[in-house]
Amino acid sequence: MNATFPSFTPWMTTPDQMQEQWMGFVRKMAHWPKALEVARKVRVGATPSDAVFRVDRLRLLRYFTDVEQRYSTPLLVVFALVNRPYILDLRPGKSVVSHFVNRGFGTYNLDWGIPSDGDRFLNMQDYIEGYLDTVVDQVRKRSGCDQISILGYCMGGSMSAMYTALHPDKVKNLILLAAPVDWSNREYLLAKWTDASIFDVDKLIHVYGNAPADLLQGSFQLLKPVSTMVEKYFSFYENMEDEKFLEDFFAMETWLNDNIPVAGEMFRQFVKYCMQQNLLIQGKLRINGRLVDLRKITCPILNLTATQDHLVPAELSLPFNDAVGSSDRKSINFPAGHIGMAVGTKANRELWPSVCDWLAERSDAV
Amino acid sequence: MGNYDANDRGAANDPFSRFWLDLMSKMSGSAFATTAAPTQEETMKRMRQAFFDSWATHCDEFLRSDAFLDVLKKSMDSALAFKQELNEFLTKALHEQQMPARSDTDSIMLVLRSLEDRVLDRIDRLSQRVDGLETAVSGTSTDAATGKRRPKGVPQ
Repeated sequence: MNATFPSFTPWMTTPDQMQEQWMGFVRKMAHWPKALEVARKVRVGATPSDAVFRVDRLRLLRYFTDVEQRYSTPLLVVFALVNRPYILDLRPGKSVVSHFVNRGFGTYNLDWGIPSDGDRFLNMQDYIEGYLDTVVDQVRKRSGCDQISILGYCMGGSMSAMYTALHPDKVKNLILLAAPVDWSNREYLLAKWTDASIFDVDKLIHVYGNAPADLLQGSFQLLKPVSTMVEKYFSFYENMEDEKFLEDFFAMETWLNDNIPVAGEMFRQFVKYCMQQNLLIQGKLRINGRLVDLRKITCPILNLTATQDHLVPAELSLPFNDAVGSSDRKSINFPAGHIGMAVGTKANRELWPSVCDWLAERSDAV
Repeated sequence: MGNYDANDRGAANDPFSRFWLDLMSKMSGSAFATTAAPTQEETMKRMRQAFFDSWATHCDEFLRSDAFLDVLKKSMDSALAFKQELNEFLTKALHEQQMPARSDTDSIMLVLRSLEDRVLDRIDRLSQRVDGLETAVSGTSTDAATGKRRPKGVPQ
């Protein structure tokens, strides 16, 4: 009898089914204390690391492992200023960093730190020609290599591209992960919201100092409201008896809610010069009086984009490959979302091993 | 996409009617799909997913619409104006009590940064002169320092 129901009246439930649903609900509610325990004990960060260098609020993390180092060319991971960088090393099995560490790359991660009100005047010059250049020199010094590989994620990728254009002699390989460089497409949602006619970034920074973390997080959530504010919790309810799911869920939530403000002047310049005026891809952006000319990038390029990226659609990243002077350039458009590129099971199983292969072919062996 | 008008009550263009019709057609479509779900639970999940998909599509349409962008701009402008008023009031209140406000520390920060820029420019010019002299003496060139702010940092 029940078997015939779904195809005709799927919303009609029999008493047995109602009882089953009720018992399922009771089971889940009984599991709440366990879920809260998992939430309380959740740990982020899968690979052991040490802070090997500090400057102001910035920390340079060096990952260590028992795996013998096979490549002398080190890899520096540069994350965005918007969130914390441990998303790239979230949990065992969901760690981009661990792929490189286990393949024998000396791997560093740049933690920009949390800007205070006093950091509101830090600008692109400070971040790219100051902090990033200092860190790159530190990694070069520690590894004894003249050139290093850089992996830039999201806004960190845009900054890495700018840095490489200004210092092509220091970068051996450049990997961009969901990194926007061309904002000429005004149809994607964030471009509409940040359009100069709508969003007065000068006034925002004048009034708030730094770009508030809550504003940034709220905007990102509002890009896909049904998914981030409704579906996610349905999924949580359905899987709350699965401990592995809960661990991943709470680790992800920890990261998503660990928002930080962005230094005011840096945010203002990035929004104004990159997102609104699109100066980077046009070769008109100036940092410290120097023109950021992407054609000066001649090192091997690997441009990773995500097919379902709502934050940085692939069309914002792909023009980079045509703008650089490199002859060795490759792009991979992977079926994942913006965060899924880093923590997705499929990306960790298929994408990152091939990225390691690409990098291994272009790095110096020990 | 930009024609979202909350006041439009025409049956065909009313945003809610369009959302509702789309929702019902997708949900019923998923429930009576030719590839019938094996269980009732699966059927309900499909219907729910169809509901979410439809809702997400219409949310996206609304978030791009002129109506929403207008509201976004107005609410941002109002919030910033309020915050600015608040900042000014707090500054005034603190100054009345002979206490420094954020604007004062900001002024000091700007003076320090300007001073730093001038010192770095000066060092840059001196470095270039030294570099020129070294080149003239030895015929080799060293890297001249640039006038950028380079934080020194602490190795751990």
